[in-house]
Amino acid sequence: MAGRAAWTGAACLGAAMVLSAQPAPEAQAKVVLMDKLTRFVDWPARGDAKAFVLAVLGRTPFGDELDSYFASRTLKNRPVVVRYPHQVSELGECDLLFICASEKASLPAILDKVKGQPVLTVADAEGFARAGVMVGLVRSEARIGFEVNLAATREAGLRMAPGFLQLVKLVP
Amino acid sequence: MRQHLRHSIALAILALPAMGQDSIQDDLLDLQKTLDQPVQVASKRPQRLKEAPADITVLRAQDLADLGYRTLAEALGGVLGYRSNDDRAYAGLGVRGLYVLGDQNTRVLILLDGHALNSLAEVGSSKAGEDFGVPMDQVERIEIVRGPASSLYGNNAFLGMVNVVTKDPPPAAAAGQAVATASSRGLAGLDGTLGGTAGTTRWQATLSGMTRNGSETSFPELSPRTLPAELDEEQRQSAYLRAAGPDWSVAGFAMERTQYLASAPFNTVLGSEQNRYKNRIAFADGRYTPSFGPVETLFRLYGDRNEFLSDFAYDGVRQPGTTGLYHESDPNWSLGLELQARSRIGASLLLTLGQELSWQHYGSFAGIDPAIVATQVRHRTGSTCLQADWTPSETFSASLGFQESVWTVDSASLDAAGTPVVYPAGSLRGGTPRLALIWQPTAADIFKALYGGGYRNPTIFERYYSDISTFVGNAQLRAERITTLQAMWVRIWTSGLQSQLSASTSTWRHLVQAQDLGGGQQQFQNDPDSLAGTALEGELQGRWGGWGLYGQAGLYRWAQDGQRFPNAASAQGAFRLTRHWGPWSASGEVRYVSSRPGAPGVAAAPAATVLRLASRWEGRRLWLRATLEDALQARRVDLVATDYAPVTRMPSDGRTFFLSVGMPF
Repeated sequence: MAGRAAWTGAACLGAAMVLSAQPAPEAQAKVVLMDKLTRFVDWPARGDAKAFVLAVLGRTPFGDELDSYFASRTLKNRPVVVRYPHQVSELGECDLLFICASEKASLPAILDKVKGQPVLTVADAEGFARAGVMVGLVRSEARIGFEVNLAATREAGLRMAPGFLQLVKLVP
Repeated sequence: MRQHLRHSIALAILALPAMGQDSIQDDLLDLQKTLDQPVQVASKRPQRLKEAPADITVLRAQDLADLGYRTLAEALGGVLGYRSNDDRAYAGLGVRGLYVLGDQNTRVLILLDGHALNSLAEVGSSKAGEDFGVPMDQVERIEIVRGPASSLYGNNAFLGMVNVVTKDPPPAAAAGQAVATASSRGLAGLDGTLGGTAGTTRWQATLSGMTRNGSETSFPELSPRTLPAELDEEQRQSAYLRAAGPDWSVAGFAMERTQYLASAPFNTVLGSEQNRYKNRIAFADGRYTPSFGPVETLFRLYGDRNEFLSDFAYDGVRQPGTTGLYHESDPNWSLGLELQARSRIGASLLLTLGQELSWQHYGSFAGIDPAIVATQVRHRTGSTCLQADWTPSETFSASLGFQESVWTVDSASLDAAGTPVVYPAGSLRGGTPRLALIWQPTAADIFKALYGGGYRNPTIFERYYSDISTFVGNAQLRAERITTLQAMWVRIWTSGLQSQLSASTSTWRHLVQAQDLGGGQQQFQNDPDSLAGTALEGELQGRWGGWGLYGQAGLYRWAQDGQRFPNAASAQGAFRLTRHWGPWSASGEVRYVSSRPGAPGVAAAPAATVLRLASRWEGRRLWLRATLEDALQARRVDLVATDYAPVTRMPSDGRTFFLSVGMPF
């Protein structure tokens, strides 16, 4: 109600501005699913890492939602650091890499950069999972589901819970 | 399908190793529930807040909960460009260094869930202190716009605009929260919220009440006495009810607040317990938002009642020749209608067309019986607006808007103790443009150029109030107008920090100020000289790994006729840091605003340094928050003269400890 009230109540043109400032529910749902996804993935121990590093490469589809959501939450019992590397070379160490649709052209280079590293790659663009991204957040009509590239996941040394794999679509 | 998935889960759980079976089972069921939820399909990529075609900051519920702000003014006072001050009558807001003493926030538009709380009458009200009426614990976010926004929001969106969005009703059949607050300076508050969902209808009711015993005060310029705390007492009760369905919503709000006036304004008797202000604000708002093919529409009907009441005791000493109890009541009624249509044309153009009409009636009486002044004003407002949002590519967008508005006074008259005065009917008309250009060459950089205008119609009080002898109405008073040109650069750093640098220049015309006419008479007039302002502002914010950071600073210069304007700070800033550890959070904030000393006898807004420390623990059935506010050098300004010009100051309350307990149920 509050979200609707924000745009309907604002005199005329304010509506467009307020709306544009709000994260869409679809984006919120994807952020929540990323949170839940990590519960079913086992990472090999990463030394004395104190934080869970979530990197977003490209034009974020989440607005500011990712930062807000993880500001007071933990992943794998570690506080979450959200980073926005401007290019592949700035990637550094991370646990989860979200690859935005804007990075389609550089996808091979990105996957090459994290190859063999225990980095869970996630994307929401069509075809990315088939191209080697481990998890795709795909929308089918009004629901969002997972696509998993199991070969890419195993190659990175990550393990996914069998129960989780029953709920996803496996892609070659 | 769902049955098949549940069957799969059951099989999967059986296949799990023994370790953590319960936890995994819960997680899987939780995930299944999430996957079953439909989502609202977005037609385009959600923007970062900083990509919006405005200079905007948002305070979220988490920020408000962590810092324990009690009022809207406290929350806004640390935001880039905003400052607040409490003159023991109302909490006032200033923007970009400028603080207009005595202004009852007529130059900052305040919206509650999109409903404007400002009124054209505006005799006395602030909407930013306890008189806002909605507890901050019920607020989901506060959208704060710096700079004029009248082409979007109309009258009063002059220096800025604040939209307070309250929390959604819970999805459960019925749930709520009770919050009790107490302070070391005699504040006691109790807020209760109950809401729920029945079918497709969500509903929520919030009741809130507070009382503050007040502080001992002294005015050495006027009296050697220390005044008892009872003379500074404040009380407020409010109710806010909402219900909403898929494409409709209704809301109702009522608030009454009483503030006793230790500062004895307008030369009243110092120390009299009869001196007090009272505000009553009520509104009802109904909206229907159907879609017709590609056209989204809004039909909105609303009504408001705003009433200011005051009692002042006179004994003929500070105000020679005046004795007795002065009573004033200024209710303003309005009934409004808003229509709006919005449609996308092609892939890159969004057009919005809106029309709003409001019919209003103001009727007041004021004076010491039998010398009563009764004023009647019938008036109406109308506005038409059009905006085009063009997004030709991922890297560039433009917004162009225009609003044409008119305020028509059909009749205005007064009866001053038997002497009738009739003002001529007339109207104030004007157009307000807006242009925003946004260029995002990389995922990390956003450049904006913003041009916008604002207008503030004179209040009925400024235009028509008269007691014939000391104050004279001015039906020729024009609307104040401001234009601002701003350039901004926003950078998203690799670490997730967002920084913003901006420079702006503003021109403010027709400033309304009380002028001395001689012979003991005053009148509100438009100042012939424009006020010119420049601002250089920076903001830094980020959240990572359980930490939250916000810092801001601004440098300002306001000048009129080549002279620095007295009520303007040259610098202001704030810094806050929050750390979360599981259910615990700890926060610290420091604010600073400078002051420019004026000539002797000339009012100047006060300097302030305010420190705030807060810690919060949140459990499933209980949360606790302790807050310490130390207004180190802050001074309140007190209105003690007849022309709203303060002639004395006193220290603020200093160190105050607050404890809040919340019980969700």
